[in-house]
Amino acid sequence: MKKRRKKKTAIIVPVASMGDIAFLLIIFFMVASNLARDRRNIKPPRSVDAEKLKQTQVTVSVDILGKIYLQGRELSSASEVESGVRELLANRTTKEQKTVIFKCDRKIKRDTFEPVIEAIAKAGGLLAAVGEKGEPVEE
Amino acid sequence: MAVHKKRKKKKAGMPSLPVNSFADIAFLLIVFFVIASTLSQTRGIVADIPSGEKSESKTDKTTILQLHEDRMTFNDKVVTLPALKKRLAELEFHKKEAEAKIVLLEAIGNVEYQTYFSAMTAISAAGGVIAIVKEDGE
Repeated sequence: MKKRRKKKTAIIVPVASMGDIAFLLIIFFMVASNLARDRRNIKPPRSVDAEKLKQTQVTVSVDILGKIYLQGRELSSASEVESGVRELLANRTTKEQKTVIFKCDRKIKRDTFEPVIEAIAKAGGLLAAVGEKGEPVEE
Repeated sequence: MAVHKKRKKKKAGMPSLPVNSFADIAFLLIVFFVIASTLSQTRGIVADIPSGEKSESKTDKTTILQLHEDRMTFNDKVVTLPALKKRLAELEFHKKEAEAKIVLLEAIGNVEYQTYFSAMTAISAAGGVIAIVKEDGE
């Protein structure tokens, strides 16, 4: 008596839900990742001692023209930075929460950037000055 | 024999979207987000700058770094950036108390932010605490 050979069944991978899973992952990455919020014309300074910074919610930037921005909104002067940052940090308690990202163009002069740094400090912010890793560039 | 020829009715075609490639597109987008979010790592320094309106006058022991347009002086001696780092390392801030870690940073004239940032990172890397000094009359 011949043994009946079992019919080989083709292995089917269920791929119907792959698209859904993939789109869920995309939504996750879009929500979780910090996309560059500030794409202004800013060339950050360089230093070999620059370390990795954690992204925070408050960003102050000064572009190459000396224009000051808080959370992407242009301010008329550095004096507005203090009240604006103070308001944003109102309900934050930890040092990490009080960190303020400060982006400034490397060519900006002291009379523009120093009042902004002072305003952040006066508002109770912990200054996180953004820069690139590397030797300073002579221009 | 009557032959009934039935007219084949055309099936009303259900409008269909080509979704076969959706998964591929989606995974390509995922790869993009994974790469993009890893590369955009922000670098810099964190400095807890004292927010005092007016500080006490400097004492002889206070470390002061002055930035000019063309040079920087550390306790009134002209230094280069590598020399400054060396001098700061010699101060061994990590062994000192909080008050002794303070380095007064004074910018004079039209100093560029690059110079200021280099000074701040040097102080911060050595374990010092930056305190900004304003010129009189400002």
